[in-house]
Amino acid sequence: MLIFKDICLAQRLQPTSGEVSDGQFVHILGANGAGKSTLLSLLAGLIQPDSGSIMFQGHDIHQLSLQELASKRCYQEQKQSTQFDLTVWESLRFFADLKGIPEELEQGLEIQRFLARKLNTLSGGENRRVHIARVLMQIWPALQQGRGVVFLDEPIQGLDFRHQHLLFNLLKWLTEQGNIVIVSHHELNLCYAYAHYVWLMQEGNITFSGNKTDVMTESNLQETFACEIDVLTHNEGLLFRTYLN
Amino acid sequence: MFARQKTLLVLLALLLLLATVASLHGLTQINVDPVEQQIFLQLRLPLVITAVLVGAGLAVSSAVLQVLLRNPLADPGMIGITSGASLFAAVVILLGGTFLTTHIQYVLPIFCFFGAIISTIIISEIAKRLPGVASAVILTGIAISTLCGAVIAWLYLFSNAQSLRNLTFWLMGSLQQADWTILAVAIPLICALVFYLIAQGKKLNWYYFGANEAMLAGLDVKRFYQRSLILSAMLVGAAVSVAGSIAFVGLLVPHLLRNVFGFDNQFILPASALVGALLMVCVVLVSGAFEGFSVPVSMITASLGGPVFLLSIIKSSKRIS
Repeated sequence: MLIFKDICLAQRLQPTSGEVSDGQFVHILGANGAGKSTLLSLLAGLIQPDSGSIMFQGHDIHQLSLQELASKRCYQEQKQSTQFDLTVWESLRFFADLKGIPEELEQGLEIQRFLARKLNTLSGGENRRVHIARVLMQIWPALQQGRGVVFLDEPIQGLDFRHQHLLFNLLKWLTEQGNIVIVSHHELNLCYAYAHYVWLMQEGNITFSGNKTDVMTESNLQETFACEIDVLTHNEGLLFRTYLN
Repeated sequence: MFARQKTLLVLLALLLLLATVASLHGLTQINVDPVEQQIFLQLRLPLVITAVLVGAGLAVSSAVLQVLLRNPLADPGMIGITSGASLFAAVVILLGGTFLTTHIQYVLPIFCFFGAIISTIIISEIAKRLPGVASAVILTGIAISTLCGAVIAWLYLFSNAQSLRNLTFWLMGSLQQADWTILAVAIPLICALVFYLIAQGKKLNWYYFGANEAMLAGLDVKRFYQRSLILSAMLVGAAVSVAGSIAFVGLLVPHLLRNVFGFDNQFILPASALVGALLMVCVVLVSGAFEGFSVPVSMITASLGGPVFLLSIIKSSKRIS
């Protein structure tokens, strides 16, 4: 269980509260600069809020030691960069005491075939998959026990359609084990297909939150993105079409 | 992992072998000749120990600094430590009165260490104000180096020819300055710093992707960054104090090792210590070939290191293209 109450950060996030139960898959949607990355950074404990509290499995996250926190939560920032010519396997091995890529991770990210390559020779999408693998491997033992929390900031940026679905299937599987997964991105159709709960953000506020069918309405989405959005009925659910007038 | 331990053992064995050769070079009657025994104890052994300490110290501190500053080509000169020590050396050599110049053998290392520590304090203050901002430390280093260079240039104007010659030789490095009195301080200090930094290998691996990623992996980044920076700077200060300014060893050794063996600092740091020490013992052997006059260390390290470094860059550029 993750509970945050009145957390705020000057000029970036208004006082915000929320609650995520174990096994939930939460998607954060919002325009650029709405505060999605700031909220994720605060929840992951990377930056301290000006006020408010964040409770993780009954403990204030700022009372937990950095090592304890690092064994239970992981956070993928938007970019990973290094000036050094590391191989993919080195970049993974330094952050996890694992002998190889766990089978479930490999199915979701398909990185085994370029383990020996240098990071700087990978494409943007391949690099993103390696980055996600690295952060998940860091807390893999906790994820296997269903006691982990995963924060991913725009994880599907640069991924092709196949790998977007593979990744979200992996994350869905993680939530089925009892883990909490919170992701931010801009894909309405993927959000509707995979999310349990949706938070819409505007100007440093969570303006709408709740079950995806309640939150992802035309009016809510249009207000959030300042863009025309049609919600079309489809035989397997809903389809979202975006355009400018 | 086993292969890496074997590599370290081979390097250690090679270092011991070459150190023994360098210590006993030309001494054929050491068992019976008291003069040769004195040469061994008072000249050769301190020389070889100084070489090992300085080589290991410079290589390990650079290996750490390269990761902390997120610059694969960082070396002690880049953050101004060597310049701070050089300025204080210049003050003693060019302006030192009779007392200072009479006891220069002991006064010089003490002043150099103070110079290095003052540079370190300035760098540490900058690092405290801007935690994790590598460019701030590098820019401070450039500022310190420029300032020290300017003051040394002013001192040149008011100095005599002999003092200038002494300073020029010091600036090019020498392993023959240290005796047992100096080594009694330098050995425990440099060994403690080298072993402490080697033990930080795993944490340093987290730093390859910057401060945020290291913190997310469980590292107290602010504390680790400041402590590692200050201890690396102290290590450089101690090495420069006993042997003067030595070019290229710090830059070259970790860079080449990472090119060949990869980036795991749990291996790279101890390997840097051993290869840095080996390189300096080789310098002792090479300089032993020049009978009758002392060859500045930096001349040899730069002559050996320059071409090797150039080849390494060409090899890397070919691989990237």
